[in-house]
Amino acid sequence: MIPMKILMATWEFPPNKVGGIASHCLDLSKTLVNQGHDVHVLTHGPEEKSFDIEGVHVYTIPSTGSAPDIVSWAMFLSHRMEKKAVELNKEEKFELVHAHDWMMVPAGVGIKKTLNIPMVFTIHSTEQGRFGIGSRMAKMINDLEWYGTYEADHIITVGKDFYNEVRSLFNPPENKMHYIPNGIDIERFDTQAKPINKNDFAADWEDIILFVGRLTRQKGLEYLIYAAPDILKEHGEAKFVIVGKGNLNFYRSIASKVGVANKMFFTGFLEDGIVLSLFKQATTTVIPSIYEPFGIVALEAAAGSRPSVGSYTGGLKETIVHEETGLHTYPGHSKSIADQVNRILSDKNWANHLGRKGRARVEKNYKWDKIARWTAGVYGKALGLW
Amino acid sequence: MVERILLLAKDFHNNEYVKQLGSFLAKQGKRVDLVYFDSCEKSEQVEVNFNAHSITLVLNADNIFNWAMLMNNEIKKKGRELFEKFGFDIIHGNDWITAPASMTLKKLTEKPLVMTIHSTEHVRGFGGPHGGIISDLEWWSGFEADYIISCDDKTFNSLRNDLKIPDSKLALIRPVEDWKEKTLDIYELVGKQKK
Repeated sequence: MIPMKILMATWEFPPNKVGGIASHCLDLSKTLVNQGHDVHVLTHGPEEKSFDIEGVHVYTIPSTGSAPDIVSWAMFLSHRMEKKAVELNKEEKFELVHAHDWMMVPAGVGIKKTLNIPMVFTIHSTEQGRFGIGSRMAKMINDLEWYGTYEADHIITVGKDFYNEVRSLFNPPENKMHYIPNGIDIERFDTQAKPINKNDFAADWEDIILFVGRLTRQKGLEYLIYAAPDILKEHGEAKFVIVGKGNLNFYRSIASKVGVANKMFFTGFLEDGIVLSLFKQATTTVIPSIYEPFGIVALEAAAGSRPSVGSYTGGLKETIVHEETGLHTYPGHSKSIADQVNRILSDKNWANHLGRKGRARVEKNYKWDKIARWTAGVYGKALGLW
Repeated sequence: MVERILLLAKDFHNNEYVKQLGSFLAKQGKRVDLVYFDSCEKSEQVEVNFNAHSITLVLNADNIFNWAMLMNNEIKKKGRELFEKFGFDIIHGNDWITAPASMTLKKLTEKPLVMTIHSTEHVRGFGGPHGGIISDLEWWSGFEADYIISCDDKTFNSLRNDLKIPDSKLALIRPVEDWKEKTLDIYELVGKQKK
């Protein structure tokens, strides 16, 4: 192993967490540090400061309050990050910059061109997949994603299907494209799960059907809500626990409309330790996404030794193995969700078996140690080491 | 003594300020390299000691602010490459539209930065949705530059009163006969200060 000096740029990093990129970057960077690399992370924060998390050097940079939209905000933040990178580089002599998603494309490109170092670009999802290209701003974001793939020396995609999506959307040369899945910190499920009182979420006799994710269109929560009456018809003991931020009122109103409001508990945001416990307590976790480049939630359920029920789309095709670690459903198909959740609820021994197999699979394939080594392999390629 | 100047501007062929300044400096025996935006990438000798290098962009943007931020990445690259060859004594940026590259190249090379601000967003009246963020860039360039030149009273007063740039690094050089000589004086001044 050749130690490398890596500069990572990510708009979100703990404690600032919005989506999955924050956890991804923390887990990746601290594992790289454990493997002997020197990792510095530039991220957004309300003020300019620096601190260390488990050996990772973190620098928070503010943007501006004057940006009229998210793209300009990201551009301004990127510029300030790049100035910070130049300052730090006097001492640190970075070997490469690793930018995450479209918001960090201007920073990644700016740092690459200013410091004359290679750029690695991880694309976690695309605007086309998230919302479609229906506005000028969406077009700009899509263009920035293309620009990131054009300027990067190497591109990492987080799913096999997603690899093909990026290839067909942006057409980068195949020899600079890589598929590396997200990793998962399995030990966290054993050491950081906070004890919870099940009665805070469901009655003793109820089975928790868990949803964890942002309450947005792409996560497909409405298909689970529409499936709930068919599930409750066969399994009155089911209780739906919905964890995540977003348009709560919209989804609550659907639950009321289909008559399941009293069986659906919207928790809003919950701290990590509690969510880890819920993964372990739930009879199953449902992932009804209509677009999911990777699908980390299925791995989190598996790390908690529980099966998941998820759409046969994108990364979920890999993170769930049908009838081995969980069950697949047709995407955007409530009847299919109801059928598969009912199968799990009808045979608890089988559900436990799927959970154990899922746990064994994540231990074998998705530990950060392995994922970080693959990522370092891409860094080495970018640096011409092999 | 300032011998080599890196000029940054959005355009060249329609930009009398940059053309005349570059030509004057070259006639004084200074080496001037200008980086500007055009539809293709090329380098040309404008006259002895005065070279112009155009950069271009591979994508368009949805508005002038985003376009400028991306265009500046190309200026940084070209500026760094030229610095590696010629090692300039002064960076001279023009307006907010080259401010990101001007500030970054100053940090990279630790050479003095002179900015000419031809007009401020306060003077222009914050006409578009990006007026605020452009004004932020103007403030930052005023903060990071070693000296700021304005060419008319209105802009000078705006830099002083709206952007709070201290008088100690603010100059009003009107476009009359000796403006180019006075600009060179400022280069010499900041060049000495930096040493």
